[in-house]
Parts: sequence; structure tokens; C-alpha cells
Amino acid sequence: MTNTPTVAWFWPNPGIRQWLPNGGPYRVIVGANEPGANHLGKIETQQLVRAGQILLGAA
Amino acid sequence: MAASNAENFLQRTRAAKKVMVLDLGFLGDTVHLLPALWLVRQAYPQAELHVTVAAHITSLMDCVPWVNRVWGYMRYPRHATLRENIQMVARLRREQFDVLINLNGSDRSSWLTFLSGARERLGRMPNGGGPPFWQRMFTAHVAHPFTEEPVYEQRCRCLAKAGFPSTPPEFHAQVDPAGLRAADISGADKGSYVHISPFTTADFKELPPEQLVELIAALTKHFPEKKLALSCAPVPRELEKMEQLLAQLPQKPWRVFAGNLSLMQLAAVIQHSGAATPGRSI
Repeated sequence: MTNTPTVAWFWPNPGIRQWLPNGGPYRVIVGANEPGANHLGKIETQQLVRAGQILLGAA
Repeated sequence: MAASNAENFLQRTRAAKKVMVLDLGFLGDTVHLLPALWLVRQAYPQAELHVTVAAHITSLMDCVPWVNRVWGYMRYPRHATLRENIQMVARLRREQFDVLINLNGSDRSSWLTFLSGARERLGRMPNGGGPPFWQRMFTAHVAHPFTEEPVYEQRCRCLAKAGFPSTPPEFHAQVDPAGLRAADISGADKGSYVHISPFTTADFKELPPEQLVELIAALTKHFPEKKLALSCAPVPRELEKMEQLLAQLPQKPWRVFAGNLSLMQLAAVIQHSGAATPGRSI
């Protein structure tokens, strides 16, 4: 809506494809909900930083 | 009356003077509604255009001044009471809408559509076809898969099946930069900060707290020229999490918006930033 370069992290929602941005200056990283873990897992901090670098480099 | 052919819905309703788009959606649903709403606006340029969304997010609709009236329907933090539903139906009937468009298909919105008294009622068939009488609530209906494309594209394709022009989706949202003043951000700050909205509605959708601290440290290291702005929603859960996060940061971020911005002000902050990393996105 605002067209701002955006890095988003998502939980593995079965209907996720409906809510992901399509094209544009966006990077989406989908994590995992592992047994026994309260929070979203399987996302490396460096993945998020790299995605930001790509976007800001291209912005 | 049984549902009629949807393909010529626009053709036979083009002269409508009053149109309602009834969605009842929360923030994400409503953002995704905007391209379809714009198509409706274009298709009925002479009509008074109304839209109904969840009452707590009506302020978002300030970004679409081309909608004539915005209605709020109570869905959060509680459901509408029976009395409120009856009042809603009475209000809808008083308005005497020529056309009501419902691309949501939920039971509640379908009942409101049926009882609205609107002369023409376009609906979207729910997953599984809905209850046996569902089709009779509408004068025309379309069917389109719910999971294959982004919601905003699905809604535009539903309209295309009802005879609306099939054009690339456009949001046509106008974010008023005046919203920046409330955030103490000036025009000179444009592109100079990264906005982070780290919280959602449940832990399992969020990064672990220690990783958030690590992420903020990494962003500060890798983007030393960028300032940081954090925000959260004005709900106790997120406010508490924000307080805990701030207590763990070695230095306070440039700006912290702890639930004190309206949706339009937040949209202005995001639009003015160099980048955003939301747990939830606008």
C-alpha cells in the first residue's frame, strides 16, 4: 500500500500465499513452528539483514 | 429470487446511484480490498460509494477519499450484539442501496447483504459453496478459488467475472504526510530510518525476544546511517512486549511508537521510512 521496501517474516500459515506481497520491493522469509518452541524459528538474523541489504541497495 | 447470471452484473447495474461494498474486514483484509474498491469506484463514477469494514480500523479508510462514506461494524474487541445487528440492517435498508457488493462470503456478511434490501446483491461463493440457501441471498454470485493468489487479486478477479474491467490492481491509497507531525518526523527525515513493527497477535508468529534484540543490533551495525523507529499496536500484549524489548536494548531507538499512532499516521511513518521490517505489514 505504501510501496516501502519491506522485509517481512511470516509463520507457516497454510493460507500464506493469499497474504504475501506479489512483486514490488518486498522480501518475505517464512519460518517454522518447531515442536516445543513458543516462538517462530528457522529464521536466521543474517537472512533478515541480507534481505534488507538487497532492498536498500536496490531502493 | 434465485441468483441470476453474474457476467452482466455491471452492465445491468451501471446506472446505480448508491453502492455499498460490504466487507467487515480487519486491517489486512481491508488493505487487500482497496484495489477492488477502486474498480468499483471506476465502474460507478456517478454513484455515492459506501464501504463497511470492522469498526476499529475505519480510520484506515482516510486514505481513500474517493469513498463517500465509511461504515464501521463491531468485530473487535467483541462481536456485534443482536441489537447492533438489527440496527445495522435497519440502517442499510434506510439507505436503499441500488447495489451491494460482498466479496467476503462469510455467513455474517452474507446475512447482512441479504437483509440489506439492496436491489442488486453481488456475492462471492464461500469455500465449499456455503449453506444450501446461500445463493438465494444474492441476485448474482461468482466463484473463485480462495488460496491461489493474493487476496487483492482474487477480489479483482471476482469483479472481472461480474463484468467489471479486468485491469491491473491499483491501491490508489493517499497517505497524508501530515500524519508525520504526530510522529515528530519531518520531511528531512525521509528515507533516513528503518521502521520495525515486531509484534503480531501471538508468540508463534513472532521472532524470539532475544533474536529481536540481535536483529536490532545487526541492523544498527550494518546500516549505521539509518535510524531506527519501532512501533506496536495499542493493545496490552504488544505494549508489554515493547517495554520488555526496550529494556534489553543498549540504547533507545530514535523513535518508539507504543500504540500512540493512528493507522494513517503509522502508514505515513512507514511510507516515509527507508525500509520496513514488519511482523505485520501495511
